[in-house]
Amino acid sequence: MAKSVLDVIGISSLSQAKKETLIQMTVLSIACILAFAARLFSVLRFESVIHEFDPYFNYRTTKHLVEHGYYDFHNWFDDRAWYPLGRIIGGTIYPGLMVTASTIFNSLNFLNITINIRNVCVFLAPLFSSFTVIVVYLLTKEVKNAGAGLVAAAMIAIVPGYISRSVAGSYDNEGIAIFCMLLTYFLWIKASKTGSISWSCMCALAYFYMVSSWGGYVFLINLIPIHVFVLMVTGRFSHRIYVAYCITYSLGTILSMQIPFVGFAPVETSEHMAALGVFGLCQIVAFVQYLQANMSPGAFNVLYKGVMTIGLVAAGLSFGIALFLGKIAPWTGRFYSLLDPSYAKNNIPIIASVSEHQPTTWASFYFDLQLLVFMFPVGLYYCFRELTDANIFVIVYSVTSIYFAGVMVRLMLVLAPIMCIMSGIGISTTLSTYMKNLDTEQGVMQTQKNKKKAADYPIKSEIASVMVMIVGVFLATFVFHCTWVTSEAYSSPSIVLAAKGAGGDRIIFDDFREAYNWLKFNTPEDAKVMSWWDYGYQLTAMANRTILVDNNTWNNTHISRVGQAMASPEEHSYTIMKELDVDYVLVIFGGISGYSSDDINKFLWMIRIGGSTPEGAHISESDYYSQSGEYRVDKDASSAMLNSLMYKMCYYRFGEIMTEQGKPGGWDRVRNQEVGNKDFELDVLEEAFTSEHWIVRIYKVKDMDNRGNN
Amino acid sequence: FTTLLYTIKFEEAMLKALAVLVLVAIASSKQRTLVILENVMTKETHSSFLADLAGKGQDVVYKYATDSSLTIKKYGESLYDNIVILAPSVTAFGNSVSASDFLEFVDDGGNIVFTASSDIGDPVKEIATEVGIEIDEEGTSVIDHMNYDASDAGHHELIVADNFIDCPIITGADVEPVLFKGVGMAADSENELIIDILKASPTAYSHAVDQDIIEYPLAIGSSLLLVAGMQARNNARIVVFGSHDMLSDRFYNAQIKAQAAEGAPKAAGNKAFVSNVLSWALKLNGDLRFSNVVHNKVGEAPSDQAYRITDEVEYSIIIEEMRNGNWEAFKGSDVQLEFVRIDPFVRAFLKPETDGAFKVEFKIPDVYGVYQFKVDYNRVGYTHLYSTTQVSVRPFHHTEYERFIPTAYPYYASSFSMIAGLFLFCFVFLYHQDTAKTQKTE
Repeated sequence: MAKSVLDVIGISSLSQAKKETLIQMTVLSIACILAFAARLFSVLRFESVIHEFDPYFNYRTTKHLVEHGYYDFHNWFDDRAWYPLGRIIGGTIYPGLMVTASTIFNSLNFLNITINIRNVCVFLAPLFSSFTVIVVYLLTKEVKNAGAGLVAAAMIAIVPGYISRSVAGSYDNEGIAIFCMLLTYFLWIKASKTGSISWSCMCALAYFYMVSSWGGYVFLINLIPIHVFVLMVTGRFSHRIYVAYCITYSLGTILSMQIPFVGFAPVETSEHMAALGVFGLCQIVAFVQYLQANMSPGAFNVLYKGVMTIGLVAAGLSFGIALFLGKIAPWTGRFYSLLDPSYAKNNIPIIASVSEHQPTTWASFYFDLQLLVFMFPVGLYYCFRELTDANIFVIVYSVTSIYFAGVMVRLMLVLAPIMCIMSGIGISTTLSTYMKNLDTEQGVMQTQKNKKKAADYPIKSEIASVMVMIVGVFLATFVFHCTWVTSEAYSSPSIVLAAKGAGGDRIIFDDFREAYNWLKFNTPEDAKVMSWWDYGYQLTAMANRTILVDNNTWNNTHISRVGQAMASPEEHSYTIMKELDVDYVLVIFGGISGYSSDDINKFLWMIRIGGSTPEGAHISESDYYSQSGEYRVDKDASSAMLNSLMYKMCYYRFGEIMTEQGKPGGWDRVRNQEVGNKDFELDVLEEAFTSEHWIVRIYKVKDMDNRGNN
Repeated sequence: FTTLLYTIKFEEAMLKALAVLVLVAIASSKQRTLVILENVMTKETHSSFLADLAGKGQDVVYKYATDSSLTIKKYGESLYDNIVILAPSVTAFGNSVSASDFLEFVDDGGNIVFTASSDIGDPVKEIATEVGIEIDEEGTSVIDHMNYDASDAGHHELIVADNFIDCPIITGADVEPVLFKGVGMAADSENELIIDILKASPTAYSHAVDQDIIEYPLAIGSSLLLVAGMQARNNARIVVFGSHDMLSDRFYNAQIKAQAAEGAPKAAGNKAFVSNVLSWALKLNGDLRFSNVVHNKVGEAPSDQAYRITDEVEYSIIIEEMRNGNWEAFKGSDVQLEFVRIDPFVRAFLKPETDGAFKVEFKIPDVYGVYQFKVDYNRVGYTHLYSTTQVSVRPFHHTEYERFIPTAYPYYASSFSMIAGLFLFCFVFLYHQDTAKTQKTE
């Protein structure tokens, strides 16, 4: 029956090569469609909305770009954020994402396909995930073969580690950056394999695209030099590598410096020095090779030793002087925290406060990668078995990225593709080893030689079928796991929350949008809203109001000032708020809904960040703990805690509310404590708005008393 | 022809209607003042004061304190612009008007003048307390054993006071000593809005007459207030006279001579002083207003575009002053403009020009951000003049930087020489023939 179907469409009459191509194309397109479709859970469940925090900023800037054109976008000075400092948008962002989205938007509209810019933004990440699938296929094919490529492509389509940052609505840099990164790697491998100038130029262009879209390009610009360096050390350095690297590096660096945010960093900061150093080393090695080919061994040795000594000393000296003079910028905090996980925690609270900068737990490795964790070493083994230049690249990539992923949760994203590639190689090679041994019709018709080999060990066919079955089961569980994780963990827009009610029905908390809309329609257009920085991007994008601090945490002092206002008692806060012209204060409170990432749980960070500058010297973290050194909100809490502005704003009128049966009024469902300060009035603020489930509470800052009474 | 006539008539009618409207507008622009009298007698004992008040262009309504039709507010709007309460000892106002109604009146922008006396009633005392002025207990009076008037009955309560605030806008330019007999007051030390219009002399104190002093008095010396003023943040003004008699005809016409002073008795300064203070309290003096705030780049029309750093800008504002009931151009020379982003980056004097316009030109600092043009003029006696205008200051656009700078010429030279060199090299590399090699092959 099946055969006849094939006959009907005329496939069986095709040649072997054509059949292979057809199968490859089919598998690849299905993987692409799957990659797109698997990321649509949130759109189907909720609606086509932008997720989380940063995407709102990207969405807002994209809208600006579409409406006002590139030059206006480039020169955009945003006076709605970081009041009263303002922020230069053009010079402080990676514009790749916005330019990509607006290009798609404009070209679609040029073709008279009218689509809303929001929808372009929402579906951009899934679209680029489909592209990533193709690139992973090409990359793996270059490293191993088409079979491994297909397996890797199918895996990258659904691996949770990547889905987590690329679901529909997650309109963030990472959404396209992973595609750019893998494209650059693919073109780099092509270039290093062929040593062709055109591939190298293409690689530099891809690198430029990568630089324009994500700060993670630093990983890339260190990885390629490391690859070249490893090749040098292992004696595999050749003219191909020389041409590929020199062109990629010089072109890529010049191009990357065109991004205003990057500027002169590639020639000044320490992060980029490895690339520059390897570039220099390439010239030296090439020159030495040239000399070696044209000189007698004795003379060469003398020259080599002399030049090496002088060169090393000179290089060391000049580096030291440059560092001393401050010509080479000191390593930035985020980079330090890559190398030393405890660095940020001890030194920069603002970096440590971001949950995605925390070290990765073992559980999240399994959660995000599942089967890949086990298949990765297999792939690594096969790569080591037959070393090539390309293989060395993926080995270097996997080893470094596994380290970085362990340091920071968000870098799991960089690890996921190489895990897929390695596992693809591992699974594909395993399967093709055992598939051959399966006792099929073709097996009977094996050649004499194979038959001899087959006699090497007994029940060969049975072992093979068991192996194939095990791999099959693994792959099936992988698929189920990925679908489950995507659906449960990574498809929540976090702007709309969902919870299971008592009867198992879904309860939707749409408090954020309710509150932002309230602000939009009920406050003066130039009102200044103070909130913790997490909500800054959403506030500007959705409520269109001026805010003090936002998710672009570039000014620690300003954030610290807001932290001080939140952590101080009312009178002190009032002076800070007046100084900053605050009209409204917004807090997120989960005590009724049970929403745990609310401001009280983030409050410790406000205290730490608030106390980290000279103006906040009066704020000491230990004052906010109870006698026994715990972080509490009930009667045991310290008076500093109970009288802080944040506490009062969150728990104002909360004592009147019965949240759970059998519990006293003012029972906080997140902390599971009865609040310690129930009956109090606010002196300097008045409640302006509280959302349906009390998640967002907005307060208006009172004017000074008309008759001068305090 | 008839249609033309009709239109003319119609126009006439319109003009008349307009004239009536204007008249009504003028009439309503007259300030409405409510005078609350203690009893029938007050109108006679204080006739000069009331005549003075009526002469200040006020639309005066008289009511007795216990009048059951006493109303301040109707349909959420104040019925009056000012209230004068000449009822120090009233224990409850009619129509259950309470102290909080008067305070609400102040918060709505109305001015209140009231008198106190040793026989002080609770509502009046409460109004004073709520604006930060504490009136001493019932039965007490200000006693001064050094500066009492020659005609004093022996308790030394009829005193001669001359410790005026140095502010001609409130007290008038030449102010003579006044006769005072009444209760003392103390200001809330944390209330920064209180104006000490008339303080007692250093030798005065506040206590009940004929009683032994056991406890420390409410206030002594010059911290004891005889006439206190308060200008609320909404610029409503309140004046409390510690002496009800101070406004009376008897005191207006008295001859005074302080016991310690030499020479013949002089006419009391009460009339002029009270009249001036009243003018101030009714905002006929010392009221400032601003209008027409304009800012623009020097030589350009105002626009809503953001300024650029280091732009030259000019700012102008018209400030007018109420003088004896008429708006006139303000002539202060100490008005400053601040250009503020948390801290003032620029602070400059505004130069008065004709028509009350004040102008200043300055250069925007080389720091981008959201700034405010801020005029914050706060002087004793004047209303608090406060104007802020928010503007954005953006950095240079990418096309606004200097295109060719001398220090960069070496770099230009190096790039162009590099281009030329590469071209030459390519040329030589492509077309050069190795002569030695050709010789060998030969």
